[in-house]
Amino acid sequence: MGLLSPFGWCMLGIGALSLLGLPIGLSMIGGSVLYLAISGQDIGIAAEQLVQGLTNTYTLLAIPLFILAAEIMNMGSLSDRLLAWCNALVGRFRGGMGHVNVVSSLIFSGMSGSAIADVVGVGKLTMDMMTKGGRYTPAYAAAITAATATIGPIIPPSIPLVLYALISDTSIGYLFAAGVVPGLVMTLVMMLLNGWLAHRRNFPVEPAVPMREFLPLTWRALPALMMPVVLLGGIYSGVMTPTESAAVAALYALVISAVLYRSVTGRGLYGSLLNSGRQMASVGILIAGALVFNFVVTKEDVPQTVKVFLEGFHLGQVGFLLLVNVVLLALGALLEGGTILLVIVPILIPTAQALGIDMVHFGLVVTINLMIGLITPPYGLLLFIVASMAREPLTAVIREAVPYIVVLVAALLFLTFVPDSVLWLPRQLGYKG
Amino acid sequence: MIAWLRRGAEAVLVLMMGAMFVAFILQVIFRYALNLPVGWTDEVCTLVWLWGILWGASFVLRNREDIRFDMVYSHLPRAVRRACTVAASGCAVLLLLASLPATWSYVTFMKVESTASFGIPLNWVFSIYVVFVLAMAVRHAGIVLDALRGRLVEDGHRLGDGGSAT
Repeated sequence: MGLLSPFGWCMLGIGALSLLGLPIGLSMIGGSVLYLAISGQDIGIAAEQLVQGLTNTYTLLAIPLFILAAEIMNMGSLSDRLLAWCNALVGRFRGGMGHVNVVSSLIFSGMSGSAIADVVGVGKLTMDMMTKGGRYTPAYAAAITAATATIGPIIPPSIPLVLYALISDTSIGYLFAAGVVPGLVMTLVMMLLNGWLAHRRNFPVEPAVPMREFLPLTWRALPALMMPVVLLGGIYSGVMTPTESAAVAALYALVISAVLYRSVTGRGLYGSLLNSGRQMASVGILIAGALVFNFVVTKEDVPQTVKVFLEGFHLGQVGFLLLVNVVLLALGALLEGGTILLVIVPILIPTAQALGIDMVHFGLVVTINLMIGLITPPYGLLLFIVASMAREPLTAVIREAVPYIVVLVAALLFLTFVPDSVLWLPRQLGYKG
Repeated sequence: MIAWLRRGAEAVLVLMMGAMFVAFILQVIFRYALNLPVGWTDEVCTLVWLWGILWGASFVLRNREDIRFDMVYSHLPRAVRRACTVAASGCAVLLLLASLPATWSYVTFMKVESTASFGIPLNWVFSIYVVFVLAMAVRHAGIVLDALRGRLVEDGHRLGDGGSAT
């Protein structure tokens, strides 16, 4: 694998094209075409890998369906109802709105599979509520909003976990189940941190909502709270495939919004379908590029070479997982998560398997890493989004985000080295691992 | 005219998404409520996944919606970014055009097979990839021309606009 071998040219091509600003999916297609041309193979292989690969991965339609379900749910007054319920639940404690932010992210994550969607949806609302009347600094509100949005793809449904299921050949159902405990652990550490900061910095308390109002508020929020039950119930009862469940969840959202919340308009539905189609195309092109590039990687035996190379260090499970955490945290701060999942992680999987690491556990470790990467400077995408929404300088938001990054990394280390915490729930559902 | 075509392309994508959604619901109803498993719904969904992605990427997505690695690029001076854009998009056009003959022969060769339920010849199913290659070549040729005239993809870019899988 010298630099001037066909594979060297391929890597050079992809690296150069994407550094120069070409979209990553197209860079991978371009680099692979270059590889096929230089190595004297049929360039038509690129077309074959792409179209055949896509027709074999249509279960990934779960991704646009999850997006559709969340969009339809958000057409109505759903977010307001959920926030009122969260406020009744945890608003009474010191730093109450911070807790509301964490809990609403947890609940919202049961409906959406993307951290970006959480931050621009319910995250924006909670941020506005926190900063109203200057009760919390905009920088703190922005930082906690970004940090809590990372729960989104850990609690099912989850777009990164669907992608991981594809590359690792693991069951989406067990991966989803494995996300529940880590999501709750992340919720817990962030609430503890918010509570501690609230006492130190004397954050405000929300007026306590009387108990007799709690039930009506729960009733109003119930259809939304039931969404994860519909989604996961379908999968775990064995009645539906994850993709079918995603479609049924979208239908449930549609019925709830149309009948109960009366918030569905033709225009709104059109917009939701269009938006989920756009996001499908955007992720799909990345997947298409990765399918072609992974042909090259497999052909050149890269995962095997990496495995032999890493085995030379005699790392063992603990050492390898530590290495993965360090590498992915660093990459996650630089590269977009989908790219890492589709390009870097497949190269690591054979080594993980050879070391006897459970693939479901590995998937969660990888995904949590990528989520922390989203709030890690310099390239944490969520930091940019919340900073621009709050109109705060990025550095101020980063300063407030650092404690959250620290506790999330602590949670990650716990979940990495206590695999049973991740695997307990899937095992209850019949996972043999 | 361009705006009208774009709205048309969006409408096609919306129709595909709607068809896919309805197909999944029918599949669930047929299999579990009526106990009559059907195969054609799978095929509709597969076609939407392939065509929706390539159609959407060709005609619906704006340049700035693509997922790109701009950490280095976005810190470069404008003149350098223009040169980068010309180089990268120029290379993309060359590579796409270079792959066209082999792509064409692969896709036309697939006429020997058809889909299982509707019997659509695979050369028609896969033809969307040829469309995609051509559309991307035209689009990036346009980006090169724009960059030479001083207009860049990120002009008018807002934060959080970009696509992301996660």
